[in-house]
Amino acid sequence: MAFEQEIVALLPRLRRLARVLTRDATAADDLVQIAVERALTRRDQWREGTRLDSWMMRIMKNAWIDETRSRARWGKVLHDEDAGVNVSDVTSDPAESMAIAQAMAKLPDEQRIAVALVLIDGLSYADAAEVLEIPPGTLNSRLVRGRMALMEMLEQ
Amino acid sequence: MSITDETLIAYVDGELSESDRLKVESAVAADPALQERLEKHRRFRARMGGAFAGVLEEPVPERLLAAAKPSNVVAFPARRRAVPTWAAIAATLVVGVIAGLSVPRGPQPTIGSDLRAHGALAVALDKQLASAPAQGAAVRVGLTFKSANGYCRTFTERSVAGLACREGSDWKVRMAVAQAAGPSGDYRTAASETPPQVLEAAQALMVGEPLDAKAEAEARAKGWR
Repeated sequence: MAFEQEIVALLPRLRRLARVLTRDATAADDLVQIAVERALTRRDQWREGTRLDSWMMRIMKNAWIDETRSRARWGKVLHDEDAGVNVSDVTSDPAESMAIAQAMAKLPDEQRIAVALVLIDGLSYADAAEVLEIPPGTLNSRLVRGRMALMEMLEQ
Repeated sequence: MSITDETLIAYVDGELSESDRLKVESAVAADPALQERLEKHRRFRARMGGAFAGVLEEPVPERLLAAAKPSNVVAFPARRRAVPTWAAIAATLVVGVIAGLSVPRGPQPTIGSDLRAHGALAVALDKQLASAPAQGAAVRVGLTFKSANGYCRTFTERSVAGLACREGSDWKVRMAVAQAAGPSGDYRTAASETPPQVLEAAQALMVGEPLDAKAEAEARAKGWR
């Protein structure tokens, strides 16, 4: 498959991950678009034979960090934890996604993305650590802390 | 043995080694409270996994599909970026030698040396006035404008369109777009329209307005310096 086609095939997964990270459908698609554009301009940095999904997610993670650090754009969404969120319009249970998204929004960024990669996208620990460019032990502790906090919030 | 939540989580995520997995299973079998904790983690994993599944079913917005398919556009990397994507560019510009711009096919040539316009393209960029296009010329200059670093010009040819900027005594091609072939396998006759991607790139580089006929003639007279 051509490089662009493979990226197109990844778009649903990238949109889902972005939705979890940003809690807003439009901001999420903006993030995906930034990631896709960056990927195309940097396609020479992708090594044939390595996983394109991990590479794309790493680019999106970096874009998300850039954007959340600047806070110019999504600050309102990220800080206003109880705002109505346009998380998903089509899910079978929108209330469920919203509850989860609101709980996840209370996690520190690094725990939220670790949880999103493993529990929402279903990556292995090794793949998630590679996306996040952190050692496996660090991934593990962020994942466990984030997950225990979420369970606390969601399952009382 | 005592089993931590971390271990239970790794268990439900399928991340434990065979021997650790067996340890967890035998401990769970002997301890209903532990079994309940394990089930809690299992349910939570399933709950999270399904939470945003609906997003996968949504139609992907057109703007994202478009972003992933700049099908025939080749945006050249910024100058002095280490490794340009020449292999990809060569694959895209299957039109071969274009308007005097030979597209290198070897592995990773450096940018700057091979991007110099020559032949008919260089002649047109040097001599042609956008305000007075030569009839029947293979290459046609569309816009002439100033960028922060000097003069730039858009050009069209039957199989390719693009943007070149003056550097020293050369024109460096900053962007090239393969033009679609017309019906009956012929390329469009002497391309008249500048593709929108090229216009956008020109817009981004442009300082002020495009040169008018007088300013363009003066710039040519001074050798585009």
